[in-house]
Amino acid sequence: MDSLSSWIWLIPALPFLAAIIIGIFGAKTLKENSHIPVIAGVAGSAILSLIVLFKVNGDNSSDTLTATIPGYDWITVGNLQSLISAAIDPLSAIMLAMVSVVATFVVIYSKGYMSGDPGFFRFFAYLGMFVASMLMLILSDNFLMLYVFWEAVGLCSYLLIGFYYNKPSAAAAAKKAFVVNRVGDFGFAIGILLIFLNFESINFQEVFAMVPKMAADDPGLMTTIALCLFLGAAGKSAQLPLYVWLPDAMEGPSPVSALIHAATMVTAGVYMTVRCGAIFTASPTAMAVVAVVGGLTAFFAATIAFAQTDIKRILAYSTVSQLGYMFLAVGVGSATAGMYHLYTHAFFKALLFLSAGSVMHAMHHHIDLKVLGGLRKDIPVTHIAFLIGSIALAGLPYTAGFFSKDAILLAALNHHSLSWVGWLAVITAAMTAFYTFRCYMMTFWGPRMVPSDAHDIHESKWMNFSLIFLAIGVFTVAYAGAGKYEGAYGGWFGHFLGQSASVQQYTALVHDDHAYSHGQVALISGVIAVLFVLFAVIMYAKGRGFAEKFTNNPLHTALLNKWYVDELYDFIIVRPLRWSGKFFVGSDNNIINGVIGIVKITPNAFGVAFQMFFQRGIVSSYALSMLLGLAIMVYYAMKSMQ
Amino acid sequence: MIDVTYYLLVGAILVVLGLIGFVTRRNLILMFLCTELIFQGVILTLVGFNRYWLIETDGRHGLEGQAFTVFLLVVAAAEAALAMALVMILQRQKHTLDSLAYAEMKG
Repeated sequence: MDSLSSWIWLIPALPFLAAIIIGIFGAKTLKENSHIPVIAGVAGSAILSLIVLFKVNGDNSSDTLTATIPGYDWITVGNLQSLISAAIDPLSAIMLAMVSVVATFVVIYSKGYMSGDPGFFRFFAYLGMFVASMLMLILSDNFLMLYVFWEAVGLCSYLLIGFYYNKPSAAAAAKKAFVVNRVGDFGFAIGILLIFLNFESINFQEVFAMVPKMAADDPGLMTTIALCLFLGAAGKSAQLPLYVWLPDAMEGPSPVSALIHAATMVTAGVYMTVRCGAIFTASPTAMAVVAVVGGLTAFFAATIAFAQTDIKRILAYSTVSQLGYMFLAVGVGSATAGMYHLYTHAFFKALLFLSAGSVMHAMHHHIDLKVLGGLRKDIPVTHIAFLIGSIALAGLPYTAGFFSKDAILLAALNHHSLSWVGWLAVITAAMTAFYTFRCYMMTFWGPRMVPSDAHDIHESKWMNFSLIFLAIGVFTVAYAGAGKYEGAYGGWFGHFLGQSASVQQYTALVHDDHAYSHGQVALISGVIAVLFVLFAVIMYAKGRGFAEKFTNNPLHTALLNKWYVDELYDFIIVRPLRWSGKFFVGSDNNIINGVIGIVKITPNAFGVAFQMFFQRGIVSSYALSMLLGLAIMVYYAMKSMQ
Repeated sequence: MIDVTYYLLVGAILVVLGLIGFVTRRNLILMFLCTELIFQGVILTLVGFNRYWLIETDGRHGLEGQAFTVFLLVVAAAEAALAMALVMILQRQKHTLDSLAYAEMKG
């Protein structure tokens, strides 16, 4: 591990340096070349991350599996000791590799997507900053460092959602993301404070080592801590009831949606939940909450995705839904399945978003299915990429989504008390297959529709490059976790991840007595996926006329309006807050300022009195007061000399 | 041999007269002359002390007081030139030498 410690910090440092370079030279010197430092930096950290992955994989000695590489003694106050240290274990190695590899393709794509934009350099500076923060978040070995970079990725997300800041909807979406995340982060902060108060440490390994003793003493406390942490995870990973920011976050540029709001940042909540396995597994209540919230979110978001017509919004709701799957997996004790789905989802959802971005690029920033359709001949590469992403998301047999979703369904259906969530997840899988292909069919098949202001329909070669490589990636990563490896299901991925201490906390919970076997679950989900994909294909093959017959009912209207959740939140939270804000502004202006006014008048009155008596503009009066002052000074000087 | 006390006494009288004059008079020229009077009082005091130290210490002290006097005269002359110029300007502004006429300049 010594060899790692010398360069592990390069992984976050390279994108950070790139961001700094662009921050300094971007506006004046680099301009349209601003992508070069970021592509170089992110690609560099991708290569280093892969080396870390292979190193951790190749070396099975116990110190490799949980290595802590000290960096910098950041805060030491009393019991609080927060070091900037890197924790390297299979879990963080996998995440590092996933984030940096996906980020590499996204930044290459962004060169094509963003070229010509006046904020070109700004975009790449933010992107570099984001990648650096995300990698630091993954490397964290204590809660404070995790929290700091948790907020840093949130900040980058805010800046990038609001990238087109002169567009009111983008500015509002950025604000919404920030505020909703604040609710989650409040819980997260309380959780961390509770941990520090009770464990007197914020270091992961120290805290996790103490958890069994603490859980025996005070099980309620562990549940509270776990639920507080989960609130943070629900905010960042867009779970019920805090998912509302993610669909709006699609106002940001498409590469941002792909990288931050599909592949990396939104999975930070899942990563944190898995990382804190010791805490979550200590509380069966918290585990059940995680599983149920995950399952319900998966179902709920999938229903909304049915009726949406904005491609990116459909994908956003599907992201919320898939994140729900991950939490469901973690909640029923299969952290491996959750992480595996996170891993495959990162690739195929990034691919889908980048394809959607490519559609947008070709269609002159139109992404609404009402105005476009039948584009398969106009943008062939995008079409194939979107198709590959769709079959993976729909979970057609032997694709990435199939293997990972199967693992989750298997774990959920075999759970001793929550198998109903598992059946809900099966229904959700059917819905996923349908809405994914609804979106695909409407975009690429049926009669050709092109918005009137879209001229010069083309694909960019930078974008196609990324699409092709990500599509290959989607196929490749699928087999990392498929089948058996050394006699156990979960493939190489499951075997490798199972070596992480955090994941072992979860695997220890799962029993071997299966109600449903691998084969049965694979059959169920495979058949369902194929059936519903076919259903969608048949329904939309001849255009939209048939499907539109079903749109004229209250259910469709409710779905189209996202179950009116935004309106509900507006009514019960936003408006009361706004009223109370107005009330407090009024009381501040009238009452508090009045009190302050009295304080302000006092010195003024003194000044006026002084002016009236001494500052009259008469030279001799000035001379006299000077003389008196001099006399007093001389008097005291002489008195003190005696 | 005149005692040093008399020098100091005359000097102090000159200073106090100057101060009283400066405070009570309103004519700018007279106020200016009063400052000159204060100057002369100070100079006389310096000369008196110098003489006192020369005698008391049997010539072990030099003529610092006298030298100061010469410098002070030069400073007084320069100040007089400046002050007279200012008074001239003020007089041209308002055609009066009454200092109260300029009371509006208060801050």
